[in-house]
Amino acid sequence: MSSTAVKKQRFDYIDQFRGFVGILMLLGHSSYYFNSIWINLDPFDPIFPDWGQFALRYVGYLCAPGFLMMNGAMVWWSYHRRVQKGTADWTARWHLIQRGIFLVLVQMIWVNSSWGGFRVFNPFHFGVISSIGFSMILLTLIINLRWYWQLAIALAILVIHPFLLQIPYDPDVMWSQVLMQTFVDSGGFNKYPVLPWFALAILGSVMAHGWLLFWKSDKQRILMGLLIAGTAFSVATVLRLGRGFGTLTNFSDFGSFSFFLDQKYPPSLYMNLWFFGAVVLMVTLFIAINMLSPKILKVFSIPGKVPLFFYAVHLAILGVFVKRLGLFYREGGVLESLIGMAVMLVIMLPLCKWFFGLKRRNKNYFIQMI
Amino acid sequence: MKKIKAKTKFLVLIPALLLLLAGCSSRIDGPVVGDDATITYPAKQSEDISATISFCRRIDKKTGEGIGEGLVFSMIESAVLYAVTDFENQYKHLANGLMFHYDWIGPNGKSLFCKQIEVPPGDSTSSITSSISISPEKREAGEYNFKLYYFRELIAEKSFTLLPELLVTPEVAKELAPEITLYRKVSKKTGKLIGEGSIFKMKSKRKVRAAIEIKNRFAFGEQELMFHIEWIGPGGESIYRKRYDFYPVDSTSIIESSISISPDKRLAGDYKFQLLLFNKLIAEQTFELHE
Repeated sequence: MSSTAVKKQRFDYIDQFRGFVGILMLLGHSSYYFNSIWINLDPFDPIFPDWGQFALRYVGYLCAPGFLMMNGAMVWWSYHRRVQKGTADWTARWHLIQRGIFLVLVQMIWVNSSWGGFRVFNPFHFGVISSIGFSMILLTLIINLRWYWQLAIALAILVIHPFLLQIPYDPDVMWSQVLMQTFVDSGGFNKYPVLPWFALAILGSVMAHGWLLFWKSDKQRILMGLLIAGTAFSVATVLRLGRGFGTLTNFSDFGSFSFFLDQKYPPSLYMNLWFFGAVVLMVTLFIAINMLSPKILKVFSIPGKVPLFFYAVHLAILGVFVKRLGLFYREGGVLESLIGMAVMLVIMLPLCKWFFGLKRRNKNYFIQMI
Repeated sequence: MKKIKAKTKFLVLIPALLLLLAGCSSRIDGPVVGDDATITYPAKQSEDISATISFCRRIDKKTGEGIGEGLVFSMIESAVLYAVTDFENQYKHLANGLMFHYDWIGPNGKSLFCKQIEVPPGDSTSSITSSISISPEKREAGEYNFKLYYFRELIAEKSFTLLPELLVTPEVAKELAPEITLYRKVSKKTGKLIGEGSIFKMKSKRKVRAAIEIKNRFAFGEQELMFHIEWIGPGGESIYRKRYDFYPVDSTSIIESSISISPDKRLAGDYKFQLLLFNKLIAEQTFELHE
């Protein structure tokens, strides 16, 4: 395989997977706005009436790990590409830090308000986008470390995090709520605390070493991907079956709903390992599919090339039209959520294409940041 | 050719993965409606946990059994409704502990109260009881639902109806047509009432008995009726008060009560026997005790 071809495919499968995760996120948001289960569903302690509703919610669990890991991979790639092109070390890092800060601001200024269709301006709240932003900023600090040091840091965070969760704090005291929920725990202020998600971003950076540098052929990427995903699934399964350290909720039987559904907010060690494995497996699958039929996954590249635009705009459209104007708000079920997703894709795909073109032509600072 | 084979394998893999995911559910897809109207989602494996749900007004403190079971209840001030879930096969799954959620759903489809219950390993609990207020100031009339989840998966649900509070007016009393009869005793031979009237002579071990017949018991259809009887002494003090609930499922229409009129317990004078519906007086009979 020529180096040009390798380079091209690197971006293809990562863009495609990122687009796939974005579309899964759209499905999750479509469910949030159209699906009546959300009238009562508590994301911190979910219960499901049937398999369809469980599956609809569970596929969305891949999104945050997918985004964080792909972000970690791209931070690593972007830094090294810039440095290779001659950019000074801290200039390359500063570019990424700026983007991290930009993501935190997008969360506070745009995303928080878009959920409700911009009815209320609510900047003092964090979420998945700010968590990605913080992770990006932190990742730039260790981006030069060798992959095994990065891996060690990620694993150390994942192992220490369950102990940090035992730190008592009063969520009614603002400073302790902000401190704990920004970094460790989940709650009303932030569902995506930085530490566990930063660990996944580091793992994304570690995987980027293999995907984009060490493994020279798709066959090797597939074999290594399967091996790593298999190992992650195995360790996660052993942890879950042990019902002790690394898991936070009980389950009935191996392979049941509850077996796969440990705590997501914040994620248990089992969930982080499981979804790390799932992301690696899915990326591997995308590489394999691209080998067989490169056209099948092309559609995912469209949102995958402008993931932040896709996220911010689809959420705003749903927030304004469904929540604020009350268009079928939480009146449907699984089918209506799928229809909602399809309709939103019809709207979003041309918009993404247009914005990608604009981004290539226009070198405006903010457009480049999105 | 190789590519086509690989594509075919891939296409086969997708439904296989979906089937694998579907296998996560421990329940058969179709619900089954039981004789007691509990909708259950039967387990794929016969030895897995199943549950039945019943609703009742009160729980007998001695026996633990539900009193006033049914599916239609009237809203009554300060009253609560119990949901009792009884499990089968739960003892086979005790080693690692159990997790249940119950969820009370209101007529608008919104959850009124949802709670997670963790049963620790080895605990042989065979039922869970939960209650909600059915006071008119907290609830509205309509169709309600109670759902039970086992390890986050719905395993049983049951609906019940809350009827509006019955506003007690003189017309309501007329509709029910209650009739109070005071008497001394019932003849063991003939079954007839002895000493019927409104004047009674006090004597050791003697009693005055009251029989109230609600002649038009179902004047308000399935409406649940909460009666109180009260015996009132010559000074206006309450001697004895007791609650009687008439549920739609039983056709009882007679209330019986008695008090001792032994001279060492009562004073001579004018007494009252009252019948109250939802704490409002609907019928009264006066009587006199003399030595």
